Amino acid sequence: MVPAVFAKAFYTASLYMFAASTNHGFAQLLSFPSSASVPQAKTREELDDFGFIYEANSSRACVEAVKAFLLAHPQSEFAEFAHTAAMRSYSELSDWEGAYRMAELTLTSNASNIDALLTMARLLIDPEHESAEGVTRAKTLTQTAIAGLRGKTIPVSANGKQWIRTKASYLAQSAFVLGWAAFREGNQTDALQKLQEAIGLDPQGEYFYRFALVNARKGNLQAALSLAIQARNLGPLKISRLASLEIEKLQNQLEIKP
Amino acid sequence: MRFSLFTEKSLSALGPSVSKHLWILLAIFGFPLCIAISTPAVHACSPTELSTLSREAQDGENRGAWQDLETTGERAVVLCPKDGAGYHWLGLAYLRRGNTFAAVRAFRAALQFGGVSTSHLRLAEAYFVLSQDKFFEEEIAAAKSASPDDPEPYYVEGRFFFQRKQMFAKAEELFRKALSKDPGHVKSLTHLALCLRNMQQDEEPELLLKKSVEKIDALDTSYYLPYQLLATLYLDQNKSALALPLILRAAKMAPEVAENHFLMGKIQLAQNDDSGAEASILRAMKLDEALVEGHYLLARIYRDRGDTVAANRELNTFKERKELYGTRRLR
Repeated sequence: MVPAVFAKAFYTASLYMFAASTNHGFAQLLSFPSSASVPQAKTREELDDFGFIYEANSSRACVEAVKAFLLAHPQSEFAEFAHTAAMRSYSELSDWEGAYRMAELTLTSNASNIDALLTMARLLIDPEHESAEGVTRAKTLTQTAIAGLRGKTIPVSANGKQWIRTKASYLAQSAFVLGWAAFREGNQTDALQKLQEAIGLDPQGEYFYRFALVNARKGNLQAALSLAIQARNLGPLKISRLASLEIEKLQNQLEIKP
Repeated sequence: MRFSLFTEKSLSALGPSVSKHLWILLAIFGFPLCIAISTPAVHACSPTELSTLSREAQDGENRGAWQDLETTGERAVVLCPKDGAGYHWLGLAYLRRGNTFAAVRAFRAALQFGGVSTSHLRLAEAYFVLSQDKFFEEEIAAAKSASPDDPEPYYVEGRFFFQRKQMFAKAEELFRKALSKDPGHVKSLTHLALCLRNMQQDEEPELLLKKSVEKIDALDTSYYLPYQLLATLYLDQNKSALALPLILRAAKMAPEVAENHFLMGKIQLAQNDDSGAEASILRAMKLDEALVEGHYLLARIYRDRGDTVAANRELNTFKERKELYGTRRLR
């Protein structure tokens, strides 16, 4: 799962600025002026309710908190971030429709929301929902995300490790989508390169699975089998199942007994 | 509506050991009855109990032991549920540990029960952290009104205008106001210096930081920031001999702060102490890998030593990392 740095970008700088463990917490960390635009709650209750989304300790709880929040505060300036939180939660719950709906709503509020652009792109190339038009759109969305990503720079007081994980994860998602698009366009060399890049940045089961498929198509059956096994081991469940099918197929082709 | 803040969720936010006992009862009986049933001290909290807890809380706050403060706050909420202090301590523990939304709710709960003298101020800080301008302004006004002679609210408001609003003249005015209440308020001295440096002034910041350092030297405190800032100022003025002892002191006070080691490395480089610089920069980057400029400085050190392989490796890492992190932390 992607650490929530970008998703909470509007808070990142200020939260890190002051989160300190010394008794001079508020005063100690050197912080620089930042007047980044931040949503403003109209009432204190609205902010409290948004906090419950931020603090939700499970995907299901997060989705419920978002629903309650949007019902109580339909005009909230925090709507984009509420939708993004729900989008992530639906993704984690493997609820394609829910995630897609929330990604759309997020992009309606902010067409350059990197998290939503990449999530939407991934959803469009989901094995069960992929279409030719979807792949083309996924590529466009990813290119927009990459352009936005280039402009993102670590807030002065942000946690470096978390930042690097987040940024690497987004770059990996971008490479993954572009790699798959290249594969569908028949450009196997680019596909292999991009998917390898994705795995290097963030080794996820889904990336291994797609890398396995491209290798299999290219005739690298042994490599494909090894990658599919890694995909099966890494999961999540949906990918493990798909990878298992691919493993069976490859073993048959290689005449290996399971 | 006195207890309207206490929903199931806000009780959860007050901490697991409090919430697990209370929220189920709350759902059935409402908050006042829930307190009455679930706590042995339904009666007015005894001054002795509160005084003991107060001492514990003060100790926890002084040590920066936020987990201890949270525990004290939870006990106080159970023992003295109608006193704002316990909620305030919980709020402070949450605030300092980055659990800001929960801190807001706890401070608001504290204020519903009268709060403590700094509840409005801490709530203002929490709203500052969440960049909620209107609520911050309301709370800081209340804090100033509650403690008109206290420099702290003016200092916090100064930080707000400096960082959030980038209104440096207004920030300067507020830091000076804080200093008029307490000329030795080191945080105001330090941030006034920072503010003036931002306004392209050099002379007064140096004096302010020197004064701040003198004050801290006389205290047992880990407030390293003025040492770091004064060292930076001297390094900028090519006075590395003056900068070095300051940054050594800062690093001793706060060895976990990457910036102190990084600055030390730069000062050592300025003094041609390449080995010292290398060690300091490596330590800084171990603490914060986003200090990408470190790779560039290491490349320079290795190049000067004639180790072109290591120099090229660091230069390549610098380029890669700059892509990943951006240049915000480059100096």
